[in-house]
Amino acid sequence: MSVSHALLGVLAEGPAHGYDLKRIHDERFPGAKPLAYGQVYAALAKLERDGLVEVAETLQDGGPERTTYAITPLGRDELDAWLATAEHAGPYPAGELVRKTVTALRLGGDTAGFLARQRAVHLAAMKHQLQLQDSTTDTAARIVIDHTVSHLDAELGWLESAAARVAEAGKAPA
Amino acid sequence: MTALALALGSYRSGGRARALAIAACTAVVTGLLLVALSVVGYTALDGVEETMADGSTVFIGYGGDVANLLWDRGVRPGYFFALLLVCLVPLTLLQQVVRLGTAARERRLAALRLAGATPRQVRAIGAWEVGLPALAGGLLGLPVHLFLRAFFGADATLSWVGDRDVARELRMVPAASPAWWQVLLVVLAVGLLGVLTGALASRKVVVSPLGVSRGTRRTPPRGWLPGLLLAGGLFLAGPVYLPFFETWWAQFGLMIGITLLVLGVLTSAPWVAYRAGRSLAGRTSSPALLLASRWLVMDARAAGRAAAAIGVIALVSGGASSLMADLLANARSNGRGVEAMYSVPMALTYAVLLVALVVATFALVVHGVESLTDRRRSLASLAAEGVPLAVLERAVRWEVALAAVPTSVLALVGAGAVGAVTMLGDPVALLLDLALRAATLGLIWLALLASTRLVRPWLERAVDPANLRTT
Amino acid sequence: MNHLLELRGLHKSFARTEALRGVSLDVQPGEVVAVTGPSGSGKSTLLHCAAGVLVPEAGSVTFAGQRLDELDEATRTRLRRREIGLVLQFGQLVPDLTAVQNVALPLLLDGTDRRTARTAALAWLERLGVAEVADQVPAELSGGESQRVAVARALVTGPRLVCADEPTGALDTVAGEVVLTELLAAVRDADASLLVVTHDNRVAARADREVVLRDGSLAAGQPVTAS
Repeated sequence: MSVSHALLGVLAEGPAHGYDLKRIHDERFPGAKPLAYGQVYAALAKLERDGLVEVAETLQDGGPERTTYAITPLGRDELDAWLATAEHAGPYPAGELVRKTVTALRLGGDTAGFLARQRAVHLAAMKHQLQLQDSTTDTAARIVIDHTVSHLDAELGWLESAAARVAEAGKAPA
Repeated sequence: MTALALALGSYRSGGRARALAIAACTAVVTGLLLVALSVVGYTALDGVEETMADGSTVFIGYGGDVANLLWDRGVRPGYFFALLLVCLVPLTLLQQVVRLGTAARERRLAALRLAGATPRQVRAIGAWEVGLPALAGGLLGLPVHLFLRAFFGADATLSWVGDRDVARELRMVPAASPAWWQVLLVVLAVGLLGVLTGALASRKVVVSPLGVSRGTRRTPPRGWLPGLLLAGGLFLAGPVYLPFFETWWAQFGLMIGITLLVLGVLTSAPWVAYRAGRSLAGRTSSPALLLASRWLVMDARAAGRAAAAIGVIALVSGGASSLMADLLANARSNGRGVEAMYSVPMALTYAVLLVALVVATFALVVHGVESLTDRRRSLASLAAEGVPLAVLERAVRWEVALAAVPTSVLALVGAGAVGAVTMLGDPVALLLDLALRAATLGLIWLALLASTRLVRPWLERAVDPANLRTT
Repeated sequence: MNHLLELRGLHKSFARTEALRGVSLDVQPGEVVAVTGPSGSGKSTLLHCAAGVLVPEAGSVTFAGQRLDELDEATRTRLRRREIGLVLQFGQLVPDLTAVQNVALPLLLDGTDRRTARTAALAWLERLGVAEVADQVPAELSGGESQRVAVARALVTGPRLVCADEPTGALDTVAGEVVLTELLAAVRDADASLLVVTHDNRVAARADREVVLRDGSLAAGQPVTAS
């Protein structure tokens, strides 16, 4: 649902066709995975079916047909309701990272080494995000990157406490 | 030059009160030293002799309507020595006022070290901070001397004193000033004393640019040095000389003995405070006493030094009580009153002791303010946990009381044990002796109460919850 | 070997805790190295040894070919003043000096005349965007301003190494980011090296290399290579 709402948010500023929608969306969420065109058109079709957007105009000047979409009053209501609702805080499912660490620990593998290598990867990812952030002055874009960075920071925190616990367990007599 | 500028900078930022207090202390010291020097130089009447018909020379009397302390060549060294002793009063206060704002100053000097100031540069800043006001005080000592001369000069009229004999005995400051080079020497010496004191006060910061780590336990004060000083003092000032009292070496020995006793009491105060804290901390169930005794165990030196002056006051007062009783006994046995040449110096001694007690009270106040500032975080958290202010106030009082009272009692008893034995024949004199000692102890207790009352605003500031957030 | 800084087998104890137990670390000219690790792991002690503020009990600190640990206090202080800038978490500015005087201080201590020192200090304050608070005393500055003044002071003598202990530790994310960006840019422009102790992953991520301290020993060291 969230991609549709983000697209509704773009349309709330004025009508746009599919290509522009994708471009503006990707600009708004730098560092995130770019949207596929198929994703955009699927979402638009669903929004149109629910009466949240409507076709404003269809142009065909020699090239392919370009349909411009606009938000409907119903769509505006839906957007406002979405914005007014707080998101759930978790629960967060254990990801690949957690599964790998636990398995390595159970098998008596080099957990500390894995955690250190993983820390370097995370730090590198964070460095990339921070470089992106330095290169833009757009507040919204920087906020989006803050979100990614905060997630990386949380995982780095988890990696650090996992490493500390592994080190502690290694010190204690078995 | 940079050091000088940085030292001047500290006067702008809260160091002004400290600088003024330093200058006031050193001004008084200088004034007293100049009087002492002019006493040494007082030979105006010594040489007045007359050749008799048979060719022999005799003194025609000293003439001069001045105090016995001045014209009696035999008493003059003792007077000179007493003046030096009186210098201890402003000097002990100086030792305390140098502490004013220690925490902030140490932070500042550490910050300077961090910014790249070498130990020598920081020492220079610390030395200037005390040295400059001390030098200014040294210069202000000249008017202090002139003031003393105007009121107690050998040529003063003292018309406001009713009794002629009393007026004469009050003319105890020679009319002539010391030679210019002596004055210069005294002023420079006082300035140098300030420089050394300042350098010494900043020595802890010199060790580390990261600041002085508080809370680390320092070695407790040791008792062997004061013990040695007191033993030496008792030996030299003891009654062994009584048969030879008139000889110059007995007098000299007595002065050295008294000096050692005074130094012994000054240095023993921190040790006594530490022992008192040690023995009480483990067995008291009073929260205030527990706090006070643990403060003393962790750092007995600060409180001990602040209380040391009180011990010396007790010592001198004890000695004076013996003298008073002796004077009374003599007056009673020969049926005459006490002569002005004895009564005036005794009255002046007690006046000086009272002033000294007031000054010592201020020394305790300075200590109280400084230690409360140092401990504000722990005091604020105690108050936040529900310890009543009254308990904290009692702890503050106990801290100085534990440091001051044992030393004072020992000094009061010690400085008269011998004299009291000779007094057994005259119960009235003995009673006077005991009354004077008891009164001294009572006044000391009052001084302790007054000092804690005066630091109360700082205690109230220390328990402010805002201090929970300061590091 | 042309390391700018060479730490070898450092040991340092305080009272009953061993803060460092045999730490070795090299910093190359122009390199930014982050030291991370849990609190109490010895990070600050390591930094203080590297900056020549503390002397280790065992091991050697070699800065530009010179053994810092073998110098006497005064010589070490002078070298530190000229060659090593220091930025702490807070509270390092002299409280009664204005911002510009604080920045000029290392130059003045070195015997530079007042006018030259002031001009240089103002230029640094300008560059860090805090020229407008030049005549204010530290108590009147915000946390971010104080830290930028501290950075200016660390860099005013043109040091080859800057040591920073949690330079953003007392700041919120945004103010911390400004200080960090300015610090990194200034260090890179001056071709200096930076040794930064931090518990902030954002700071560590901006370094060329991260070393992790645990219980006074180096646990891991990894280059931080951005993709």
